[in-house]
Amino acid sequence: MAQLMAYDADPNMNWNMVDTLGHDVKTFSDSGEALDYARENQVDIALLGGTEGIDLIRHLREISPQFKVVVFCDSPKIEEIRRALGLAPCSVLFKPVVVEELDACLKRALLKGKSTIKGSLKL
Amino acid sequence: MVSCSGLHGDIKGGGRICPKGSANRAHVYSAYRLKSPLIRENGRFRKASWDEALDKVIEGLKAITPQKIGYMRGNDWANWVHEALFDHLGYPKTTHRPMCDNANRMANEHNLNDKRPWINYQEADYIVHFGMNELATSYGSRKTAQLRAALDRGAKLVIFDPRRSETAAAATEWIPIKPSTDAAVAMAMCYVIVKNGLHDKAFVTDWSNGFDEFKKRLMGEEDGIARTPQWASKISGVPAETIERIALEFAKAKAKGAISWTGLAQVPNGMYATAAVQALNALCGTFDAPGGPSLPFKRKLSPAWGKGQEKPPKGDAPKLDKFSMWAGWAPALLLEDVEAGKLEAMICYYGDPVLSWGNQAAITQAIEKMKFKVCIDAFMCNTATLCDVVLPDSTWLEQSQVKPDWLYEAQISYWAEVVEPQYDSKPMYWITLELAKRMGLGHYFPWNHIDEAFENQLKGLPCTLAQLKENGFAVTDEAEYYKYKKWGSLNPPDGYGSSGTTKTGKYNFVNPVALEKGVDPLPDHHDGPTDLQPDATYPFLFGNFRIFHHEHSSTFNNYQLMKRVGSNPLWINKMDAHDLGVEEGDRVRLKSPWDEIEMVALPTWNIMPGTLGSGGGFGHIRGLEGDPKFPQFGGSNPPGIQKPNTTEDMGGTPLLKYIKCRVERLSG
Amino acid sequence: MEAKELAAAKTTIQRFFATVFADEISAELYQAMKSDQFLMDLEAVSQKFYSKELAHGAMVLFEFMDRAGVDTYPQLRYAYADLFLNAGNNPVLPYESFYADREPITHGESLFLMRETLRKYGLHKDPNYWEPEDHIAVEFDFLSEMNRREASGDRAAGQARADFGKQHMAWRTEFCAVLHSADKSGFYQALAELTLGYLFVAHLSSVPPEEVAPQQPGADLIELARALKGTGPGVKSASAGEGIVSAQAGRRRPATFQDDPNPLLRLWRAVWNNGKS
Repeated sequence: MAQLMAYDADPNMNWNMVDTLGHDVKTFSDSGEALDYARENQVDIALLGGTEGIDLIRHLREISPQFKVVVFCDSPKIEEIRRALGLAPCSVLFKPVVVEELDACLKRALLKGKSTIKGSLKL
Repeated sequence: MVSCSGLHGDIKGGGRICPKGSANRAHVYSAYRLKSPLIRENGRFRKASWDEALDKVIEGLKAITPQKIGYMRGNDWANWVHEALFDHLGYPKTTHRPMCDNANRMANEHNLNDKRPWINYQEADYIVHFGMNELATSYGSRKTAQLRAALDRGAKLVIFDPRRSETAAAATEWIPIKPSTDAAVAMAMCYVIVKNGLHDKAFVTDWSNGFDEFKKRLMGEEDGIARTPQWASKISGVPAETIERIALEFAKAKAKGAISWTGLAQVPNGMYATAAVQALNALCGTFDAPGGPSLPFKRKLSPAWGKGQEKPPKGDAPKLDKFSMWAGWAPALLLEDVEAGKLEAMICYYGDPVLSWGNQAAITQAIEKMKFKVCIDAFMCNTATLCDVVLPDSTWLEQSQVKPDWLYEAQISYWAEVVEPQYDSKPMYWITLELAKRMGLGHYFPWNHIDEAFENQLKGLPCTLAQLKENGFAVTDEAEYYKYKKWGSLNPPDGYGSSGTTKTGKYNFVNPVALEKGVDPLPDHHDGPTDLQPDATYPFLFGNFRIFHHEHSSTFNNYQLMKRVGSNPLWINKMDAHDLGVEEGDRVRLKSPWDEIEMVALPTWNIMPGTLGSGGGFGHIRGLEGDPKFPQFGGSNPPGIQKPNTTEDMGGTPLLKYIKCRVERLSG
Repeated sequence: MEAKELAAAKTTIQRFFATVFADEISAELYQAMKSDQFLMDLEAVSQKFYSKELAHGAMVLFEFMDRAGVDTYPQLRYAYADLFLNAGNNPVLPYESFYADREPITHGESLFLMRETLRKYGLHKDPNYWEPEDHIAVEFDFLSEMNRREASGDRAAGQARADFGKQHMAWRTEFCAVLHSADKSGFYQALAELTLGYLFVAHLSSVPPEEVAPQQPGADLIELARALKGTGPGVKSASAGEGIVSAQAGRRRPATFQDDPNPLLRLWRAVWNNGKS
């Protein structure tokens, strides 16, 4: 059971599936609120949607250099995925959220003892 | 393969394993492995089958006179098999040896029985190292554990080194010394010992040769210059009182030994300096004594060719280069040799000449000028990128060998094929056999399986292949003190070998081979070539040093090791850095009269003023260092800026630790 | 459309990707991709795709192959060696083990899980195919086979394939990004974009259609398969085969490697022994 945070600038982004995984999820569509929450609370992994989500990574890493994130792309623009990989996300997934895809990612990312984030790839 | 650990009872590891050993998994399973033969076409590489690649090798070799094809035996894995082929063909051969320590060998292999008699630390009470970093470059972890144990029980370790290496940092005394001046200090120590009558007169009388001449040299009877501590101090920068004190401590210690290594061999005057250090042992009769250098002796294996099997006769390979004490192919002279028409092609097995033979631009140019070149390696080393055919070698965990070895005890080691050759890589003995077959020489390599050859090699030895496979090793002879007394000579008896032979059977202060060749046969300090000495424009001396976590140039695709040491900054004394306005992390230009390279500066107190250093092996353009996805890894090859076509004059060793330079801070 | 029809389409598509990533492009495959029929089909379907990313991928591949001349085929061989055989400075490292931690070490846990998966479904990696089982070609081939089974009525295979596909989606996405970034020839960049487009559409097809409308991933997949059929990736797999064949036989460790069940005891004993040796 992990503490998750989800952010997407689009308020209609559907994070409902994530509940079914048994983790605690707080959702945001305002980046300021999302960051405040991340600063003040224990967050194991942040689920970030879209380009704005990728932009948030830098700020989350200021809170903690090992802040784990999962990126959800609106559409598979290859340049965006290349950019995202330079920021060391746990995974890059597509929208809409497919819960089995996220589950596979979280299982690995939340392995006990794995306190460091995956490496980044400069592409 | 899931993990690696030390092997109990093994004489070299003693159950321990170094970082390289424990990172073996990341070596075998490095994602940068060469997987398939490659053929160069239009400046690029394409996949080829083994048949196509081997045929192309044969085609390329056939077009060239054998005496002009160089064989680089960069790896001595099952070397008897590939050397048999290339020696038979008459290809001039080079090995790691003349890239590393020929200067050292020209002394110890003629004055004593072996290039490198390791000190018996188990009993040591007083240990002196010149130009050696035992804790980071050792021949197995058992010896380093014993050295640490010696320190723990109060033994004194004295390190002469321009750099405060790991060993120097653990030592009782680190004595900074100017590069290439060790002979002066060692001579002066000998002077003190002899002057005070502290030498072992029995050993000197019964077991040495040439003491009188040596004494004359020390006392200045030949040239009026006594080799005193004061004399040595001016040359080396080591205070005279220190030299005298260390000499007296050494002589009066109960269990003492002195040893030197490439810090002396890869600078001018290497042979003479090595002899001067070894003379300390001879004066004090420390060979095979508790705490002294132990005389090596390895079992000799029987030939791999058994009954009804014919070993190929040796061909007529020319000796490409001549030095005062040695003739052979000195890799540092590659450009000169190619331009003189002595070499037109090369088969390079491992070792990456571009990164390790000398001036990088000159070596690269030489290889480019060759008509045909082949590289056999597990990774795309810098040399491979220049070759016409690249053949993927299996790593050492994917092929097997039997090797006699020594570390105080004598042992036969079995190196097992732990995993199958990965991808389409092949062991070198397979590659050799396939080349031989295509040359009509297959009958010289008759074994159905390499184990048959190993069985032949073990005939008459006190262990079987089955036993070796079961245990990994078999200790054949226990360690002993004063083996030479039993042997009646410093040379081991029949059935055993060591890397050298003393013609007199005793220790030679007067080098008998030097006498024959008409060069000064006594240890001494000589100034190096004037044009190589530091001057106003190039005031620094740069020296390459090795890194505990890496092995020469071969471990740089091992992610686990690279995470530990992933780059090689330039060590510069903090005072020098201050004067140059250089701070930690600054990019600097390291410039010699012949070339230049950019590096990152690391100001430190751990190196003498006027001296620079950095860890060697870096500078790959492929693999992890070359991979833009991982910009955090990568270094450079500063020894590559040394003077082209230059070596020390006795044995042809490149001067990796004596490169005159300047340092310029780069803005931005 | 029927599930079976969709499964059959995916069989073809995944076989294509398995083939193009398993090895360098063969002369035969290159000719097939250069054929008028293939080019025509590819251009045509790219106009029909609902997914604009898939359309873009198809278009990029079409443009490359359309432009390709006599010199192009050797360039593809050089690109393959650079990207997949470590001849170049920016290899793509097509193994799930690499992407698991983004560390360039193969034979990670992913490999063993893949072996287990193959065994579970009565498959094995062709021993003559010397890449490890978590190579992207093997994973595509596995998916292709499971789709083939579903297409011939095996529902359980379909479920297994769906699960596997979702669990192994993320790393293949990253692979496409790395391939796109590393390739200088243009060909593998095009393949990367096509593969990424396919992965996205496959992802959409695993979601209830009403959630992704007006996208019609199923229709897109049928069209893509139609175009790729021209390259002739038939039933034969590039890398996997029926039946269980175990990986290399176990090897014995030397007897002096003392196997103590208590690792701490083993460590203590090693320290004790060294003090004495």
